[in-house]
Amino acid sequence: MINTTILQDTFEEPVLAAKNIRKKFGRMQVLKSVDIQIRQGDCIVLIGENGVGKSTLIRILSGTMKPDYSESLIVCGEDLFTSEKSRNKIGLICHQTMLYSDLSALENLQFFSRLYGINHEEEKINTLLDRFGLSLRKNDPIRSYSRGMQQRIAICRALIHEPILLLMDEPFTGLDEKGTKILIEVILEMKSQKKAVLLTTHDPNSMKALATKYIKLEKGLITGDAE
Amino acid sequence: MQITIPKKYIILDVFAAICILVSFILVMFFTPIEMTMGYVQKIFYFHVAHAWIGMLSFIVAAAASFMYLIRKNSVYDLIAESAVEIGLYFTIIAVISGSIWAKPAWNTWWTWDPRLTTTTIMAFIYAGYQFLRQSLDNPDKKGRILALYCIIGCISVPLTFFSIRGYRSIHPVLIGNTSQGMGMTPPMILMMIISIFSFTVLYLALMQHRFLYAKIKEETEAEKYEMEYEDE
Amino acid sequence: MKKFIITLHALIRKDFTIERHTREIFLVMFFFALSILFILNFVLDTDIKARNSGAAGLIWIISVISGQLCLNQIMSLEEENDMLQSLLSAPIPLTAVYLAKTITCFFGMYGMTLILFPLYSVLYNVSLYSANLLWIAALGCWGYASLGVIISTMTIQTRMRDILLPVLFFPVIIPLIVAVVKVTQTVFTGETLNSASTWISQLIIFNIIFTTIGIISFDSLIKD
Repeated sequence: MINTTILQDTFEEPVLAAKNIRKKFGRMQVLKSVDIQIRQGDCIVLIGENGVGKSTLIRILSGTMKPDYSESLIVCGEDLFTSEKSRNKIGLICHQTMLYSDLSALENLQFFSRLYGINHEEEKINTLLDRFGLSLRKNDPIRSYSRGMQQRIAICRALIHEPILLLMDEPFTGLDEKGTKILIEVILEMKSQKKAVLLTTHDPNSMKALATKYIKLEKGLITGDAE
Repeated sequence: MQITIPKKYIILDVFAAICILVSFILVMFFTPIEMTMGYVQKIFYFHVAHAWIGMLSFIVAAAASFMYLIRKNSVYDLIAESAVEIGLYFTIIAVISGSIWAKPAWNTWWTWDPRLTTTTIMAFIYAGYQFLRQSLDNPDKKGRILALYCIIGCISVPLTFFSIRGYRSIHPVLIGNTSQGMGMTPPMILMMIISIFSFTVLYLALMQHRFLYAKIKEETEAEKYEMEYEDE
Repeated sequence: MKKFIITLHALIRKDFTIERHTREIFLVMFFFALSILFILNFVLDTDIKARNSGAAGLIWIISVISGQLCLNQIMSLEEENDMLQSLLSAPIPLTAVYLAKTITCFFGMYGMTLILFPLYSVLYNVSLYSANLLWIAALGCWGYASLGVIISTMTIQTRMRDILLPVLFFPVIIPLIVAVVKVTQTVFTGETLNSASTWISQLIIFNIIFTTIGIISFDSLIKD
């Protein structure tokens, strides 16, 4: 009985499968040959020195940067670069908030939900804003928010289309206490719902409770299960 | 870094030098002196050659840019870079020498003639391209943006020429309809061809050196970028 | 196709909402144009002939110069907070982004031009009313916007940013300006449009060429 469940798990389609990704900056080979597989329920923590190419890798996996070469880059069974639909399944959180600072939280989320083609947007937006404790100020422009609140809306933005894969570049940097708590909740929820998370962090020790796997990016290659 | 100029470059250099020297001597001592304009008319041989190189260079740059967008090979970007820089100088010289020639010929330094105007606008686009190159950082995107600007420029320049061609012109027509031309005698035409040929050789010689320079510069810049990237 | 239109609509609506909150783009552009129009007064003061014959050229030059404010603002919105990356990660074709920007810029330019014509007419006592101006101005503004958005996408990614836009943009926009001024002049002088048919076709060709270039090449301009 136990064996069969394991078998089922291994046969499951990975959320993201990337094979042999290469990227050059000028002449510097940042990513030599990167293979990553993210399975359902994974929370993978990507660690590595500064400037080793973690952000670059996140950007490539999110489809916003084209690698020089990739054997395959499949998200939920679809090629990331040819299928626009596959982008619907990825949520992205970066250093920058990626929000229009002149628009209010509500308007920003409305805008993105239209881009992602979401139905019943109002409901979803309101539940998200409630959960992140932002409903009271949802009509103020983002510009007037504190850094921590802006980060929280950035997370809302990434979750609005209910992604299957959440890519986060240093999500805990600049996040306030409340935000940290909610983000941890979100990650746990993603794990339990058989979705997947990939994040980079400065402080790998703080992620011990959440991470299912640590991988290390070094000299353009992934070395698995690093501590 | 050790910079060595390949031996074979010298062949073209020497040939270009001889060509320019010969055409200079020919222009100075062997061409007929034009009746109304006198010695100043001789500028004309160099003026036309420069304008020709300016235009040729523009086409070379646009073609190289187009190839860059298709092939993504940085060699084409370097060719475009070289062609634009050399083309800019030649175009400026063409405009200035034309102006010097125009004073005795038409009794005015400047006229809003289609060719003159278009050539000057071409120089503006060349200059804009140079500014753009200087202020772009990201090496991968840089090439694409520059190539696209070059192609847009190359489409815009002929459009400009056609849109103002209807204006009254006093610029001599060299090719085609010669009834209103300047009535060049056969030795003048021959001299013109020699002059254009010599300057084309000179252009090729300059291009090979500028290309080599661009290549070396790219390599050092890539190293610099690598170091910055590692510091980050 | 339906998805494309929804995306386009969302992108345009977003730009107009930002404008409604900040009033940084169109209003500033409009007042800039207005101040040039007033400064012209000191040049055209006594010269009635120049007021008439120069009308087309002057109005379009004011539009061209003030329009670059709009182009700069409209694109730098997307540069702030890494918005370009955000748009890249969304499941939308980048052509929609280009078209949305061009349409927004077109509306700004078109609105301003349509105000400038009667304003010039009132201020300088020249009669410039003609229904034909509506579509001529539309063609001119669309051409301006379609090429302007491409060039400003290039310049916002440089270190010099705003300063570089006119230097790169004005030399390449000349054929459009020449054509649109010629057609406008023909309308002002009361001649039939047949006499300006080559200019009109040139105007249309220019619009087609640069819109096509924008649609084809926009993604290579913003993708890394």
